[in-house]
Order: sequence, then C-alpha cells, then structure tokens
Amino acid sequence: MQPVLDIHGLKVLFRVGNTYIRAVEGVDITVGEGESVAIVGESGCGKSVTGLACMKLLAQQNAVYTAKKMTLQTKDGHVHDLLSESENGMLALRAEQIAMIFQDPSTFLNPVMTVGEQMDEVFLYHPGAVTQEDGKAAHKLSRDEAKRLSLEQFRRVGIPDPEMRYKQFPHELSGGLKQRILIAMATACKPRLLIADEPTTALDVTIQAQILDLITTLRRESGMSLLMITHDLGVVRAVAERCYVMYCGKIVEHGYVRDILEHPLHPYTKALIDTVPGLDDRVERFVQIPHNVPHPSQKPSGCFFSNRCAFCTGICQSAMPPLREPVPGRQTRCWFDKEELWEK
Amino acid sequence: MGEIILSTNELSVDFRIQNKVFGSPDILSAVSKVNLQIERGEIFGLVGESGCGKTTLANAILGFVKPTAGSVSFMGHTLTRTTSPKVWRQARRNMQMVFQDPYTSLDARMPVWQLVSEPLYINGERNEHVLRERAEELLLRVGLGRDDLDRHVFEFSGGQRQRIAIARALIGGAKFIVCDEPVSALDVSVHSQICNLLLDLQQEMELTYLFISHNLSLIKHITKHMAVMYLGTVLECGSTEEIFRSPECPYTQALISSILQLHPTADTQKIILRGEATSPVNAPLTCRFASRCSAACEKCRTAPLPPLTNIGNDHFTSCHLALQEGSHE
Amino acid sequence: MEKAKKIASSVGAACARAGIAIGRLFAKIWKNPKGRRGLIMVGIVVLAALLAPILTPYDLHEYNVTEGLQQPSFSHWLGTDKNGVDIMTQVLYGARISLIIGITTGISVTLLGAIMGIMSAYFGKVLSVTILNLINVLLVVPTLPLMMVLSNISSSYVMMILIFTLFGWCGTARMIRAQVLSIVNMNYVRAAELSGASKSYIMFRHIMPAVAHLLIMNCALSCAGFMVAEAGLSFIGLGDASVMSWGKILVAAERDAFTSGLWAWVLAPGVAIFFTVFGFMQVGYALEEIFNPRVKRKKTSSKDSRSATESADAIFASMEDLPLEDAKTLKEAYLKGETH
Repeated sequence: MQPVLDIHGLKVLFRVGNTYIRAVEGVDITVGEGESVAIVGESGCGKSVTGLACMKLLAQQNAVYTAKKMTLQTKDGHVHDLLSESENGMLALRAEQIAMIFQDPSTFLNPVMTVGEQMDEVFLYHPGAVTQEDGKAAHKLSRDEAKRLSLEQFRRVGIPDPEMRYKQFPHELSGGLKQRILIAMATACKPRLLIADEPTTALDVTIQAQILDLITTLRRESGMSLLMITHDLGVVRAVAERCYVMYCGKIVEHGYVRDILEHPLHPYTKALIDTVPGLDDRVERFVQIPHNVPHPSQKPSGCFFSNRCAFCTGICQSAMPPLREPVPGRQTRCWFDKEELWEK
Repeated sequence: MGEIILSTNELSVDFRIQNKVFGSPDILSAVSKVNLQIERGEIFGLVGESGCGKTTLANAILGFVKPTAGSVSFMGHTLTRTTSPKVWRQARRNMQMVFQDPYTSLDARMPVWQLVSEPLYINGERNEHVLRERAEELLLRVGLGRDDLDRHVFEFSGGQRQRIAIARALIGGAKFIVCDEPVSALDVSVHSQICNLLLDLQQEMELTYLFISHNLSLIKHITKHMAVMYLGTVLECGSTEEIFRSPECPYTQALISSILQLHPTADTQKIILRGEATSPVNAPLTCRFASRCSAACEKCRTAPLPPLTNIGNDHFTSCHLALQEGSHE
Repeated sequence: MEKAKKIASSVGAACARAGIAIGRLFAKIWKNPKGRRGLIMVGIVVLAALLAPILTPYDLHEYNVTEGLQQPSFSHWLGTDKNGVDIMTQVLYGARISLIIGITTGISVTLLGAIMGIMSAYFGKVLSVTILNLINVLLVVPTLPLMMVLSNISSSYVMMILIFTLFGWCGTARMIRAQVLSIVNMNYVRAAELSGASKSYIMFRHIMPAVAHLLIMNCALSCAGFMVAEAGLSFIGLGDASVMSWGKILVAAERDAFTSGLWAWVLAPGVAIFFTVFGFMQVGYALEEIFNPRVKRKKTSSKDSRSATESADAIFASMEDLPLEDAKTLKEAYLKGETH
C-alpha cells in the first residue's frame, strides 16, 4: 500500500562559514494512512530538521539537502514527488495536505492580528479544502462564512468561549490556548498528515495531557496521519503506534512503540528507557549514560554512540553498522543482537 | 523529625499592578500564606505549574523579593519585611542557588576558574593562586578536570555548564541550595548524570536542597518531603511517599495522573483537567483550584481556604473535601 | 607613606593593564581590513593636523591681497583665496579643529551617555524615572536654533562642544540602559548577589565589560557624526570666527570660488571631511565586526556558494550505509579476530 509520506535516504547539511554541519545522515521514514508515528531523539539529533524537510521548509537556512525519494500521497490518491515540487506547488500542499505545529506557538501567531482573523485567513486562502467536503464546488468564501467556520473549528479543538477568544490577540492567551489555536489552524483544512514538532514541551504537565488528548481525538475523528517529533518517550507512548529513534542524525532503532519500550534492541534506546525509573519503586540513584551528546561536527568515528555505549567493542569504533532487521518489522543500527549484549 | 534548617511562617508576596490611572492597584498575590518546614539534610520537593509562584517563593526565601507579610527563619535568623539588608546578606551566606538555564547563569566573559571562585572573590579572597586551587578542587568534585580551569563557557555543553554552576554554588560552603529546575533545560540523556551528581554531593557534604521541579516522577524518587503549589497557595504537603500513595487534593491527583510513564503495567486512569490556571490577580480567599476542580462543592467556592491540616502519617492538606471526609470518620 | 606607595603602584599597574588592553584592541583593528583602512585614513588626517606648520611654508594669517584668487600652481597646490592665503594651508590647519571637535565631543558624549545609562538602569527607581524624563525633554529641544541663540553669548568652539555633549548623550544613554537592563536580569548577576556582591562589584565586574564594546563602537561612530555637524554649523556661520575650520573654508568658497573657477577651493574641504568621516566610520564598523562576530560571519557564508555545494556531494556520499552483506562479513571477520 502506498504510504502517505514516504522518505528515503534524506540527508541534510548546514553550512556554517566554510564548513558543513552534518544534521541528517540518511533517514528513511514512512507514515501510513491514519497512522501515528513518532521520531524521538535529543536536541541536535536532526529530528526537527527531518520534520522541516518534509514540509520543504529548509530553503532559507543555509541548508543543502538530498533524498532518494520523497513522496506525499494526497487525499485523492495522487502521489506528489516533493523533491521536484515547485514552491507554488508546495504552497498548495501545505495546510491542505500536510500541516505542521511547533514547540513555541507564540512565534507562529501574528501579534498585531486577532487570533480570529488569523483563523479566518486559513479558510479564505484554502476555500477548496472546506467546501468540497459538503459536495459543493469550491468557491470564494465570504468573511461571515469564514468566521462561522472559524468558530466551529475553535469549538472542535476545545477552546472555551470561542466568541470571546475570536476577538482576542495572541498575547492575551495562555500558552496552552495558543497551542490549541495553532492546532485549530493546522487541522482546519483536514490535512492528510500533521507533523507535530515538540508541541507540548513548553507546556505544563496538566496542559500537556490536554493537548495530547486533543491531538489523539482529532486524529481518530478525521483519520489523519500524525508524525510526532519529541524528546520524551512518555509522549511517544501516549500518542504513537510506531516510532523511530534518532541519534546524531541517523535512525538507530525503529519498530512498534510497545516492542521498543519493552524490549529495546539498540543500547541507546535501552539506556534512554533505563534512565527513567518507574513510579512504583523508589530508586536511590538513576541509571546514567556517560558523557554528553556529541556536537554535530565532533561525532565519533564508527558507531556514533560508541563513545557512550556500555557495550562498545573494537568494531563499533571502526565502522558504522548498517540499519538491519534482526526481528521482522523491527530495525536496529547496532553490530550486535541484544542476546549478544545484555541478555547474555 | 530532624532539626529544621529553614521554615516559612505565613509567608506572602504580593505585587501591585497599577494599570489604571485612577483607583486602587490590582494585587497579584504570587505567594499566599505559605508555611513550609525543611529539615536539615533532606531534599524538599516543590511542585506546581508555571506561574504557580514556586519561583517567587524561592526568590522570597533567598531575599530577591521582600515578603509582603510573614517571615522566613533560616539557621537562627528571622527574616521579615523590615529586616535590614545587612542581616539578609549575612543570612544568605549559607544559601545558594542552581538555576534552570545554565546558559544565562554563567558570565560568558569569564574563564571557568573565575566563574567558580567568584563567591570567594566577592567575599574578599584576592589571591589568584588560592582561588584557582579551590576552583580546581570543586571542579574535580563535580566531575570536570584541571584542564577546564582556563576554558570559557561556550566550549561546554549544557550538562557541563550545569556542573560548573553547581561547583560555584558549593564553593562558599553553603549548606542550603535552592535547585530551580536544574535538569529541565538539559538533554534527556544527561538528566540522570546531573541528578546523580546532586544526590552524591548532598550525601557527601550534608546539604539541604529545596528542589523545584514540574517533573513529578523525579520529585518522587529523590525527595523526602514535598509541597504542591497552585496559584500561590500550598494545597498539599508532607511526606512524598504518603502523597504519592494517597493524594488527597484533586489537583495533586491530576498532577500524578498526568505523569507520562513508559511501562504499561503502571497505567492508571488519566484525569484530564478542564481549562487552565487563572491569573492570581485579585485572587479570592477561597480554594483557588475550585474553578477547575471536578469534585468542588459549594463550600470550596465560598468558604475560605482552610489552613494545612495534618490528616495523619505526616500528610497535610488544605482541601475541604479531604478534611470533611476526615471529620466524618 | 607606605600606603601612598601602594596606591601609586596599584594605579600604575591598572594603567599598564589598560594600556596593554588598548594596544591589543588596536592590533585587532589593524588585522581587520576595514579597520586597517580606517586607521590609515584617520592616521593621515591626524598627522596632517599635527604637522601642519612643517608641511606648509605659508601662514594662515598672512594676507596678501595681490596674490588673491590664484589658480592651483606649484607654489600654491590648491590655489589661494581672496586674501591670498594658501588654501592647502587652510585645509591642513582646518583638520585640527575638526578633529578636536569630533574626538572630544565623541568621547564626552559617550562617557556622559554611559554614566547616565548605567545610572538609570541600575541605581534605583527615582534616578531611573528622573533620567528617563530628562532624556524625553532633551530629545524634543531643537538643538540648532538653541545653538544659534547661544552663539550670541559665546561663539567659541568650547561652547559648541558643550552643547553637542549636553544634547547628544540621550541616544547613547538609552542604548546602554537597554543593554544594562538585560544584563541585570541575567542569572549570573543574581548568583553574584547571592554571594553578597555589592552594586559596584556587579557594575565593574559584570556590567562594564559587557557594555564596553558598545561604548567603543559608539564613540568611533559619533566622532564621525559630530565632525559633519561641526562643518554644517560653521557653514551657517556659527563657531569661532578667528579659528579656521573646514566648514569656514566652504563658506568663503561659496562666495567666490564659482565666479573665479577655483574648483579645488570647494573640493578640498569637502573631500577632507568625507575622507576623515569615512575613516572613522570604517574603524567603527571594524569594531562592530570584532565585538559582534555574527555580523561578519553572515557575509562570508554568502560568498563562494558554488565551491561549497560541490563538496557537499562528497559528504552525502560518505553518509551512505554499509551494504548488509559487507557488514555481515565484516562482523564475522571481527568475531574471528577476537577469538584468535
């Protein structure tokens, strides 16, 4: 079956002065229809860059990128090649087929416009996506129609008192409400794929629970696919079915979330899971991973995790292992099977 | 119960906001009548959402803001609104702070040895040799090396910077450290390094921490006592174990249920709160959580918030519901 | 006596340290291409001003009406004015007043601005409100008419410098204030306060080093600005009539140069002003690049984009994974090597 998003061999470099920073080093990602997929990794592992590359939003930032394949299947079954798509073509695809929400909602809202006006704009610019649903032909929407749709959309994402919020400016809203507004704008045209880049990192725990709940509900209602980018394995478990673990620009493990959390294959994933103790038992000391995440320009030779790995051997330091599939449906980028490492 | 190193007595901090030309100013009550008792040598957890006043409370304890009412008792000093700056300064000698963001808490223009030894320099030690020696001693203790003495901050990663900040907090021999979200700005894989370091230092040097965090699972593992704050008031406090075993206040229950856990065996019923925290401007005397509380009754909305009451097993709460149940028994 | 010696030695050490710092700064400016250009240009003007009596055989007040309005020649490179005074001599001596006014006002405005800016940001609410209101008042006072009125009292250049300073510090002060406010809120300042640091400690140890670069840059740029302002004011007839300045040469030239075809009379002071101001600006921009490396980095990255993309392909190729088969043999070989 044709996946909604199919990326193969994505590589991204950033230019700093006369040198290149290796941000993403060959990443394959697929997101199926209605599926919820997560990319987990720490800051600087290239997860956000991957998300931006899917939207083709890397052009401004001194980035050079290449990919073997980058396709997006639209609602009508047509498969777009994102690599060759023009900027105008991308404008049409964004919002209607593929939408994105970010960590810091306030930077994506215009401070001198009310949130209602900004919500209306989405409908005014993309009338087709809305009206075609009712079976009518696409036509230009009037201001009143747009406002009606906006209020409806505000209600859908659970904004209390939408009439009042409609007239407010971004600075009058809390972080959680702003994130709701952004989600409302992103999902207004019922996109096929929503990319969420750390949407709850800046929010409080109780608000985080609300937002994650909202995203899951919206996804169930509209059958939209989700690509969640996060550093928090807890968030992954709460929303995603399948997950990619990234480290230093490469995917180190891939599989179903439940499998990964219960039986990780890669030492990095295992270490990450072990550092978070369960709530049931009280620990005196935390399991720790030595050293720091290497700077992108100072990645170790061989396997990128070799300098922090408890199971590091000679071959790890000399060559980067390929992404192999020891168990069907699961991939790991390690020279050894888990039986050879910690289940000896 | 051990010796109390720090306690607050009905501590309140109000800010006046004059945004009308005429009329009385609005009162933002950031911290309202907080009573805490921290034992010597323990880690005391303070949890709450952003804007709940936990940072203001820490600032009031450290003397960055003057309390509007109430007092702070610390190692024999009683500090109130009218205490002279000189006494504040003397009392603060034994307090230090580890900040959340290690990028703004270190002056990028100074080499590491100057940064770490700054508290000694301020207190009159001018001999560079002595300063470097003491800085080196502390750096080794926090897991950095002699080679790092002459480097600058920008050469270090977030975790290493936080180690430098910890070394600076400890060099003057402070016994009470306020840790304001010390790991939340760092990479996930270095969280445990810094937590373990803080725990080791606490054991070795017999330190007392006031540990501010929104990460409840961390609080659960490292603290002995904790307090839950909501909009400037403490809703529940006491032994961490007791609070996690049977949270009384609906807010605490919601907080605990919103912890995202990794292992499916630990799954509990999720409580998703309605709405968001309102602002503490002209906050009522009633329970400030009542407007979001699903179990709130008439009394919660009208009667003033009761003082923290012991409901047994070193567990204090100011929730009407819990207190009513107690009286029925 | 002992104490005095100690103080003297510590003052000496401080001066020496300051001297070394200034020397290092100049070395840095010299390394920057813009900075070197600027330093050379300003250096030429300074030398010309200092060596004016040596460079020219004529005197500024030697009138010789019979030799008036001469075309440029070997004896008078730029010709003579109506009174027969050599124009080259005027330009050389004019450099003195332009430089004196530019540099003294630049420095005094920066100093006053820095003091007021820091005071308003870091020494309590009362001072802050007072200084901010003072700035608001000063910003709306029209400087030019005031200057004209005050030139009736005294037309000396000291007066001009005084007025420039009194009304020119507001911009600097506001810039410094904003910078200081952002530093005061930094956590490292709070950490120092926790250790018992006094206000003066924080000011000299944390705030001053952080704003010093802004001040130096601001100084270089305002020197240039005030030199232009001085020329303008001299041109409309303000300033000491007995002292030669570039603005005054232009006034005289405006009356007679065009009728007598003496183009050099107009051009020379104009070029001199441009040359000096340009030099100071270049030094200012160089300082900006030195203290704020981001400005410079942006420029280099836009250059030679072509060669960069070519090597990108090589990097992309190096990111390719090992084929699974090869990996298998590699691992087997490794395991074998280990057992032996």
